[in-house]
Amino acid sequence: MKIIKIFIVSFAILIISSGAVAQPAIFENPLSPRIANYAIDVRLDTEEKRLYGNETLVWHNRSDDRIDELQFHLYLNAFRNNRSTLFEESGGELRGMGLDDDGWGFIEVTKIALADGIDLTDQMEFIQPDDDYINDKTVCRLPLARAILPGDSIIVNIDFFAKLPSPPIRTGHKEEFYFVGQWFPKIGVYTDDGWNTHQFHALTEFFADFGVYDIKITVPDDNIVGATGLEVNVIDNGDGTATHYYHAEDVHDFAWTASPEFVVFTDRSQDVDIRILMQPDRLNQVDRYMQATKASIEYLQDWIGDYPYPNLTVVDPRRGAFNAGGMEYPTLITSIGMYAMPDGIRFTESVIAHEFAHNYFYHLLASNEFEDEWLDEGFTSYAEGKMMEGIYGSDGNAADLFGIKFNISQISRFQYFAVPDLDSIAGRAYKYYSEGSEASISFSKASLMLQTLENYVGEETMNRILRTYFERWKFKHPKTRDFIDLANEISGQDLNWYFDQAIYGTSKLDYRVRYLFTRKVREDKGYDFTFDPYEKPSETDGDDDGEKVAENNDDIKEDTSSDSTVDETTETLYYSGVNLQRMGGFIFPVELEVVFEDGETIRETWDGKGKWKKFRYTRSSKLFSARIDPDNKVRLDVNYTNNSMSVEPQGYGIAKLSAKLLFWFQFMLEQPDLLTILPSLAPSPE
Amino acid sequence: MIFESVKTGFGQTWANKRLIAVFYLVNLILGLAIAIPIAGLVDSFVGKSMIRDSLAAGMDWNFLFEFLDINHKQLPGMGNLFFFIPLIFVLSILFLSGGAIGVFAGHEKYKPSEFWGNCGQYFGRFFRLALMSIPLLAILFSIRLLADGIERLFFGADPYENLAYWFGVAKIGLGIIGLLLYGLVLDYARIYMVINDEIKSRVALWRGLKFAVGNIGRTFSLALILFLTGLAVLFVYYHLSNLLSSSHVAIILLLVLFQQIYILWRVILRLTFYSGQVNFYKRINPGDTIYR
Repeated sequence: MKIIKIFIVSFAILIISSGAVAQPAIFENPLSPRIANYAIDVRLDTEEKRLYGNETLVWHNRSDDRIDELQFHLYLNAFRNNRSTLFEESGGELRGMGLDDDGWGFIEVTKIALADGIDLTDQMEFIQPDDDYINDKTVCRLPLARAILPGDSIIVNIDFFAKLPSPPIRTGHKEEFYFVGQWFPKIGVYTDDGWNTHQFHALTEFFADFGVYDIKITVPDDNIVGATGLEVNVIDNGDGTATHYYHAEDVHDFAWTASPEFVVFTDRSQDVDIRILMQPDRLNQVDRYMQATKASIEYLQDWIGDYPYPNLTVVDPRRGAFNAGGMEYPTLITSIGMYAMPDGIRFTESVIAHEFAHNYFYHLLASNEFEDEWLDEGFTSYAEGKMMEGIYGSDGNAADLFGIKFNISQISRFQYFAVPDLDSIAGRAYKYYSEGSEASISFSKASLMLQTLENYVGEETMNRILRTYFERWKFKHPKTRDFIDLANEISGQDLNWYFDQAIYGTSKLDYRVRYLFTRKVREDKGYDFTFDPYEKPSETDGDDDGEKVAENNDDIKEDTSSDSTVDETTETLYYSGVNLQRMGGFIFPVELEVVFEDGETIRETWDGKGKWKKFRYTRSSKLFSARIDPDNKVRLDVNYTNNSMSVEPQGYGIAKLSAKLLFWFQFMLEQPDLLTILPSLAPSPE
Repeated sequence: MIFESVKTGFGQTWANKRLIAVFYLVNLILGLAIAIPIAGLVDSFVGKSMIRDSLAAGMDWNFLFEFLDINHKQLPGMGNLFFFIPLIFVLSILFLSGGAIGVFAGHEKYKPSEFWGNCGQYFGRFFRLALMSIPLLAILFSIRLLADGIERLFFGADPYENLAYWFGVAKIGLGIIGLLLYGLVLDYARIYMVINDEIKSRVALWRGLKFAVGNIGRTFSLALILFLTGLAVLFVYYHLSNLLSSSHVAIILLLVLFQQIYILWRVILRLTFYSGQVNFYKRINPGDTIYR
């Protein structure tokens, strides 16, 4: 059950003599340390696409250190010019889209002062903690004349104005649509190692402390607003603007959106109020949005734990604002939709599942996205796969159209193949080799790594690990080592051998069946131990591979010297062998299923440590096939095809596939002449 | 007149089964030229893996992704096949169409010497005609841009997504209409060339354009009838082939047989289209007689 008191102690009683609004309360007791607390008045100038803000920050020193400076993020400066770290790393593009010619954005701090009136504006100094790239102005430090003692607090007043980039790259505007994230001077996180601030990077997202936000957003009065937290009230200013007051508790960031075009839909799932802000030209998609949102809330609350906030807002970004899609903020997420997206393509659904999962894996388990990106993107991708399978089934949960079906987990695998071994999961993602490597490693490999872990420890244990991780670390900043320690503890096993390879290593995991044979057990040849030295030895079959393998085999399970002889009075016996090989550097214990022609099935295990392993059998039946990982548990294996082998090629699958290929090529040719070459000319719907 | 032309065309096609065989063989050989290398690559990749059997059940995406990943160096070479084989096919059909139109225009039975002679005689002219028609293709294909113009005129540069989508669909539709019209012009230009033994491509192109556009309703209707027939048979094929999903060898053989019957039907449809167009042209222009 939620500890929510909701709602918002009616604002009618709140007007006090000063005209201020008393702070409402969502939770009876704080759920988080509430280190960084903001009150911001911000006005949106829709003509200039600018924000004018006044911020009051109350920051608590929960460390044992005397802190003599503050550090802030000024992330809109990533869009100030083409010399920022963001532009250096990406060319100013996200998902292939860049800024318009006049779409530059920035943030200017016009005044920064302490509560006692001491103006520190001149003391501000830009720093570049990640790359020493002096043209980047996304992080600044503010030296303090008087240190903040452990347990003390500081109040800072900041005046700023900002211009929003266009079209949005994670944040910004497109025409009348605004998605405003990373928009205010946001203080860094003070850790055991001092200030942890990072520049705005192309690949990674953010990191911040929890707190309480009281944000008053003034926009044209015809605008519909959505934001992190709960809307306390809306005041019509009588000048064509309205001020929307939002209050959020125990969140670590605040984003908002505004547009006069939004069409609002509301519903409820379990104990969460849902608000969907749709674009008017995609209303045909609203049922998909709503159903996916409801299903995602139900799935994650049932699986991982309670979503503590009372509400969730889902934003449908405007056409042309694609890069505002697929973003996550506390209680506010954006999806990606298209007017003509067929129901069988569940892209919108998977984005909603993914972004809502981020409310757990980042907004509650507030890891550092710069340094441990997999803790949010990897876990979220893993959760997305589970959610899509749970909600839409295991056959075609990503796409099910015209008989073509595939799943999120298959997409993950394919994405992992792109750049599988250049970076480790534990690396800092903004330093990864490429955007492709980030997708491969932080998203896909991490997801496959968790799937493999689940299959190794069992679903029930994995669920206990996840639930304990959530309960123990929510509203905190878990690191990679914290999860590993917890997984070891809950599973009761030392899994470091796995995590060391999967998280800290770059080796690929690939086991294969290298060789199979089966043959009749041979008659005795050569000298016996009771030999007559004058008797000539019989000839040996030196060209038999199976014999050679058997001779060199250290792992023969049975005594072949006795088993490989034939007693004329008994049934025919067959000597069979399976040779396995580890192809990659990643060592993982694997199961082997060996099937004989009479149907006998044997399961073996191999610790996978050697480069190869041989299994030998003497049976009354011939060997039929061998299959590594028969239950498909090792999702990190990069090649399933070589996991199995039969003594003789089985089935007519290739024949059927060839027939199908031939037919479709013939069909393609047998179109009207011009249509034969049309596919390369044809446009697609916009 | 249209149905009569189709009926006569089908009768003429059916009466020239060796012509059907020639066109079918070209299709089969070129189809095999693409399918065999790809099937061979798949076969060598799969080896004795047990996945061999499961491939019969349908597309295994894990397998496909692995195949693409591990064989990515060979794939560009395979990709070239998708460019060159269709090109060879188009040229082959251009070559054979001279012979086929000759047979249909003369209301004759297939005779190898005449057929191949006509193929050789008209290929050069048809090729020149095809080259000369490229500007016409560009113009007709550009009528799709009308949709862009109307969209921009009425809805500006930033139309709602639903409008943009339907204009996109209209654009594709107009593009297809342009291409079909181009195809018709080219077809009737070739018929004009054969029937009148025309050498000059520009004259044939002009006459083809005049005929196709001058009888636009009927030339389109003829094409539409045969297109819809093809679509209906494709629909039947799709559902029947889905019934043959087993990987049993007899079922696979039956599937192959069924597929080839379908392709044979497509070949007959192509020839019926040629023949129907020739008949239609001759009914409209009874004065034109095939040059001897």
